[in-house]
Amino acid sequence: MKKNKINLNKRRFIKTLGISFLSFPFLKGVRANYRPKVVIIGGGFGGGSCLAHLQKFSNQFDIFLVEKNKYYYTCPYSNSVVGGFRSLKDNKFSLNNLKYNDVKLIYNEVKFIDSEKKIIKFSNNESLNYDWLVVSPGIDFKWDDIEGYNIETNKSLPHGWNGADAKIILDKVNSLEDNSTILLSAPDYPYRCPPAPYERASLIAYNLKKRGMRFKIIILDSKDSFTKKKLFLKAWNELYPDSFEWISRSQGGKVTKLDYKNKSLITETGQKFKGEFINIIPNQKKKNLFLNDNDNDWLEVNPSTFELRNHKSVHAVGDCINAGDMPKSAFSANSQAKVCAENLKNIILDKEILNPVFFNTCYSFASPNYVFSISSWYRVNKFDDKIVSLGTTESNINDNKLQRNVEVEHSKGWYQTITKEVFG
Amino acid sequence: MINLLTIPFFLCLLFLQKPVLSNIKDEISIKMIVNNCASCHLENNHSDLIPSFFEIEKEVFIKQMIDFQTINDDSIMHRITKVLNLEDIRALADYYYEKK
Repeated sequence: MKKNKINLNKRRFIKTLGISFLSFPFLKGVRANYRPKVVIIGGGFGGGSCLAHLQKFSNQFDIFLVEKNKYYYTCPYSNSVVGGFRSLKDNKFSLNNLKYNDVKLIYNEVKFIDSEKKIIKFSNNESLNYDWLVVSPGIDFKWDDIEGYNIETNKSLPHGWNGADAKIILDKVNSLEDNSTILLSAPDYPYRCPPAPYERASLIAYNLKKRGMRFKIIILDSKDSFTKKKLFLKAWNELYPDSFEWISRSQGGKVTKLDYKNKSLITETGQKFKGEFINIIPNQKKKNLFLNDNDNDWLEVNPSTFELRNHKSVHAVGDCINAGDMPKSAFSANSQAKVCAENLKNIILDKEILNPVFFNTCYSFASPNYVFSISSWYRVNKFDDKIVSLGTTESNINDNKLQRNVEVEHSKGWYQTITKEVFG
Repeated sequence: MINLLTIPFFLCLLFLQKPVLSNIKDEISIKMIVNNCASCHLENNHSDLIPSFFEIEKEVFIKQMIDFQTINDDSIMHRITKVLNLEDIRALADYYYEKK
């Protein structure tokens, strides 16, 4: 077995548990002969970025990464698969064993975390203890918010709000006939990647237009506005004239019921919309991993250290947390993870906690050659309890085709870099 | 008697005089800013679609950062640099080029 591919067998587990158990009562700061055990759950952009940053200290810490899946399909660029101009395999990554040869990678499914006992229980009944834990498990969905829409109906009407299901959405779009109507239900805030429902609609339109089909896309929204709205509306008008209808919540856009049999969505004002393809993106909440947890939709963290408010020595980054003004995005998760790793290292080594600063950019494709973005710097407020934006800015509404194409290159460059940084 | 409207006016002036990420050496560790730059500009293994500033001279880096800041074209680099002041940019340059 390779050193970096750890499947905990019982013997190894007992040994690991025993060493840590013996060490734990004496742990205070870091002793010369003690190596703190840091476990990261989640190998996506949050957990993976944290791992990449903490790895610099692998000579001082024992670092474990726990991930359920051997392969990871990125959410960024998943809509390009739906658009038909990118292959799903281009979004497929796994943690590079060579890059992480000093990290113990464990492929197992977490059943729950007992933060009082500092133990992670796996679905196969194995366990792993930790001194410090970082979790980045991503999101779950609120299956009860839309009548008639649940985990079962999602099998035939997938939301595709993960990287892996992009090909299923593509196949459904490819099966549409001329003059189809597409219904897209956009969720209420907060949710993973705020511009993505509108990017998805844009790239479904691109796919259909490219194949010479006529279509109508109706976006039924649970909100009264959305990020980069002016830029999207302009792009739809320029690229897909008379093909889009956006219905805000106050206009009756919030979907409350799915009539699966009649391929219809019913909104809170009683309006009924019928479509050949329905894509419901459900409201979202944290993926819960804890044995004893509250019912909050999102994990509450100290924004300087990302330590959870109600689970000591457990830190969290990425889509699962309430990050104040920061949107749930891969870029945000990456930025948070670096701060988390830096200050977790400072906590373990009993050093000063550094003031964080964060940055996020979200690029959106309206077509393969038409990209615009939104970005912001963020800091922690003076009460040290919330991440606040220093002002959001977008691409210029009057940018020409060349400038939109420059942003295509920036977007691709960012994706190449961040995936190299995280996965190796 | 002070007109109440003058208070927010002077507060705005104070804010405008001081770029948001100024005094990074004292307030924010330069490392924290650099970590965000690394989302696109890795020292090694970066994308061929994004220029590497590790291959240019320190003074060129400073000039380019000031140019990004000055040319108000809503480009991504303008948006990134507009919150920095000259002291911030020099601190970034020191970090990158003294590390070399």
